[in-house]
Amino acid sequence: MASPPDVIFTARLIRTANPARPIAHAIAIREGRVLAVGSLDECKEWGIENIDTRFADKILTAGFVEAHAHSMSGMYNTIPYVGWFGRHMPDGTWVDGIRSTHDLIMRLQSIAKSTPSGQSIIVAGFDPIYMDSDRLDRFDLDEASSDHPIFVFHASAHLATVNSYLLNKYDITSATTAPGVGCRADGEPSGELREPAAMALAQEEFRFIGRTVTSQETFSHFGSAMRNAGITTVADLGNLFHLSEESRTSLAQMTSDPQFPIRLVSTSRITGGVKEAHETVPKVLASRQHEHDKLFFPIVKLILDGSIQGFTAVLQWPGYFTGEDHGLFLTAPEQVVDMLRPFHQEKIGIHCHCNGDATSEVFINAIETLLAEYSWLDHRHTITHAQLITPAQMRRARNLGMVANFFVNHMFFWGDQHRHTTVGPDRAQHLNPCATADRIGLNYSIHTDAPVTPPGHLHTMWAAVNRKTPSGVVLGESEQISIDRAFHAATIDAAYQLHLDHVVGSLEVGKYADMTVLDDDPYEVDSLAICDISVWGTVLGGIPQPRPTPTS
Amino acid sequence: MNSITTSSIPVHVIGGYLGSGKTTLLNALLSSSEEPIAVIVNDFGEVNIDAALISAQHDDVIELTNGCICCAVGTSLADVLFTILDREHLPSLIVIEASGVADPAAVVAYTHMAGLHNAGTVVLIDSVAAMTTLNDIYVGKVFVRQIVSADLLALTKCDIATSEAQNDIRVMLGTFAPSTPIVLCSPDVLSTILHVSSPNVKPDNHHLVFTSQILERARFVDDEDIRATLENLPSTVVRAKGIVDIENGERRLVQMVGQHLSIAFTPLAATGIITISVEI
Repeated sequence: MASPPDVIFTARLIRTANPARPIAHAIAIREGRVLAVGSLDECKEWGIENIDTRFADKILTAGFVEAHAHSMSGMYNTIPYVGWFGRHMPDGTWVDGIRSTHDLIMRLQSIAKSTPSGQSIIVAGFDPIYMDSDRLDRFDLDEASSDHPIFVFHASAHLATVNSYLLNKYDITSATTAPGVGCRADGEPSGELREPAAMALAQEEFRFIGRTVTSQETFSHFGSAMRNAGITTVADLGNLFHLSEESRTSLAQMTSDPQFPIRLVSTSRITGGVKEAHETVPKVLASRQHEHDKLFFPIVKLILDGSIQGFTAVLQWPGYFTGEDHGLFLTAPEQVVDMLRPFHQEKIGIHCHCNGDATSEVFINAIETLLAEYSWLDHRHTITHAQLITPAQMRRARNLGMVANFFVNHMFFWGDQHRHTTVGPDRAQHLNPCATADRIGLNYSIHTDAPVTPPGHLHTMWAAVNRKTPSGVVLGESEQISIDRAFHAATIDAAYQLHLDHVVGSLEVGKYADMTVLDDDPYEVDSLAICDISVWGTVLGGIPQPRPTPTS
Repeated sequence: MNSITTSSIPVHVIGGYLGSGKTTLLNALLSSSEEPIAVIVNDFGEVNIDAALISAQHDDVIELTNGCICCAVGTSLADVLFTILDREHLPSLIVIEASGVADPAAVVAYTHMAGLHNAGTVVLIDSVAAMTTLNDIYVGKVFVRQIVSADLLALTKCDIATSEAQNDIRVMLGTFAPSTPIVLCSPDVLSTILHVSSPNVKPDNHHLVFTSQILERARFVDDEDIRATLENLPSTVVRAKGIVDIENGERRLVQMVGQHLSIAFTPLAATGIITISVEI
C-alpha cells in the first residue's frame, strides 16, 4: 500500500511530551512516523514542500494514551446513552447530559414514541450521583411509559432501575426473595436491581446488554468513541479475545481497517485458577503473531478486588469509614504468585486491578517474589486503580520497578462519597496520590476506566490538577500536580506502562505521528477549565482523524 | 419461600476455601453421574475428567459421554447460566463451584433466575488448614462467610487431621453456624451423598458411616405436607432427594441438603424419596 506523501503540519503550538524539546511549531511526517519536530524552517530542511496548515490555529499535542479503558465504551451507539455529561456519540452526534429524573423521563418518552408497544427500552450510562432528586424508582420510569419494559443500566454497571411493566413481565413482586431486589418500605419492589444476579432477573434486557457489550459493532464504535475524545492509543483492559484463533484473527482484521482510528492494546483478562493461567500464556503468545501497527499484546490483566464505592475493595486497618465491609479478593492471595508466574516468565506485563490497600500489598508482595525467582528487570508491572496505595507501598513498588495507574477521575465522580461515606475525610485526601508518587519517584499514569467514567484525558488531567469534587471540596491540596506533570501522565507515562513508549506517547523522531488536536492549550487555560477544551479529533500515523460532525 | 410452580432446574452451590476438596468433589460428581448434570467450575484447568469420558471440548465447555457438561465461569456466571438454559437438552441438575475466596451466598443469588431453584449449599472445610485459614488476615473474613452460608458443612481430610483438631473445628464451626449439620467425609463420599446413589463406603475410623433408606411415604397432600414430614425427620438425616406425587395429580422434586429444603414442580415421574443418614 502506497504511503501518503511527506507532509509538514503547522500549528499554533505543538506540545511534544518530550522534556528535551517540549514545544514546537511544526512537525514533519513520513510514512506515518515523525521525521522531524521543531520550527517550520527546521522541518523544511528535509526538502518537504507539502505544508498542511489546517491546524494553524489549533494546539497539537502528543497523542493521548489511555492505559485503562474498555471496549464496551462503544456500546452507546447501540444502547442510548443517558449519562450526566453530554458527549459525542461515535458517529459524532451530540447527546445532552441527563441532569435530573425529569430529563431522563423526557428522553425515555421520546424513545418510547418510536418503539413498538411491548418492546424493551434499554438505556445505559445513568449517573444519578449528583442529582438533587430522590432516588430513581419504578414510578418515575412508569411516567415515561407503561407500555414498554424499561431497563436503565447505571454507569457503575452494578445497578439497574426498571419500571413496573418490566417487574410484572418477570413476576418480580413483594414475594420475591432474590437478593439485590430493592424494596420500598411497604415491601413492594422499588424498581432497583442491584448486582448482576438481580439484574439477570430481567433476563431479556440484561442479555441484550451482555451481547451488545461484546458485539463487533460495539468494538468498532469503541475506536470512534476514543478518537472523538482525543485518544490515539488505548488499552482495552481485560477481554477474552485471546481465547480462540477465530477471535484473534477477527480482532486483527478489525483493527487493521483504515477506518479503525486508534491503536489498540488488547489485554487478556486472567480468569480461573493457576492451571488456567498456564493455559492462557500460550494463547497470549499466539495472539502476538497477529500484531501490526494498530494492534499489540504486551500485557495481561488480573482483577484482584472490587470497588471502594461498592465496599468490595479490600482495605487494611481501619477498614471502611461507614457502612458494611464487603471487601473480597477475587483471587486468593496465596494463589497470586502461582497465577502470575507464567506470565512474568514469558515477559508478558501484568496490570493488576487493586483498589484497596490490602490488595496493592498482595500484588506488590507477589511481584517481589517473582522478581527474585526470575529477573525480568524491565517488567513495568502496573498497579491499576491504586486508589488507596500507601507511601510505604509506593516505595516498595518503586524499588521493584513497578508503576501505578491512578483512577484520578474518582475524585470527581465519587469524591464526596469517599469523603463522607467510604474512607472518611483524612484518607479521601490521599486517594490517587499523584504528588506523593512524584516525591517518592514512582512512575504513574492516569485513566478513565471508560465507560465507568467518560473517555478522554482532558478530564483526567483536570481531575489530577484540581482534585475537586462536585460539591466544590478539594480532596488533598498536597496531592495536586501541575498540568505539565498531568500531561506526561496522560501521554508518555501511559505508553511506558504499555511497553510502547518507543513508538507512541511523545512526538520524537521515529515514533508514530500520533497527535491530539485541541482548540485550546491545557497549559494556558485556567486550570478549572482544562476539561472544557474542545477536541477537534486526532492525527493517527500522520492521517487526520476528525471527530465526525453530523450533517443533519 | 416462593412456590416453584413451573419446571425448573435444581442448583447446588459448592463452596469452600482452596484445598478443601471442591475440585475432587466436582470431578466425582461429573464422572459418576447417572443423570445429565451441568457443573460450572472456576478453574477449567483443574477439572480432571478421564479423557475417555470426554466426547467434545470447546473453549469453555466440556461435553461428556454420559451427557454431562462442564463449563468455566469465565467473567459472567449469568451468561453461563443463560447458555445452559438455552440448550436443547436441559441438565437435571446444575452444580456451581463458588471460588475459594467467594462468599457462596453471592453465587446462590443467581439461583433466583427463572428456570432455576436453589437446592442447597454445601461448604467443604479442610480439617487440616481450617484454623489457619480462619486466622489469615486476608481471607479470614470470607472464610467465616463461607461457613455461615452453608446448609451443610463437610469436614474433609479427616484421615490426616487429629481428632483433637477435628473437635476444635467442630466447636469453631458451631460458633458461627450453630444449627448447620456437619458431616465428616471425603469428597468422593460427599459426591455419592449428593447424587443420592448408595454410598458404598467402607466404614473406617476417620469418616462417618452413611446409610441410605427409602422414605415410606411416596404420596403427599401438598407442599406443606411434604415440608412438615421432612422437617420432622431425625437430625441424623443430612440428605434427601426424590420425586413424589401430591394430591392434585402433580409431582414434586424434593431436595434436602443439611438445613435447606426445596420443593419444586417437576413433570417427571415419581420415584420416592431416598434419605441419607449419618450413623452414630
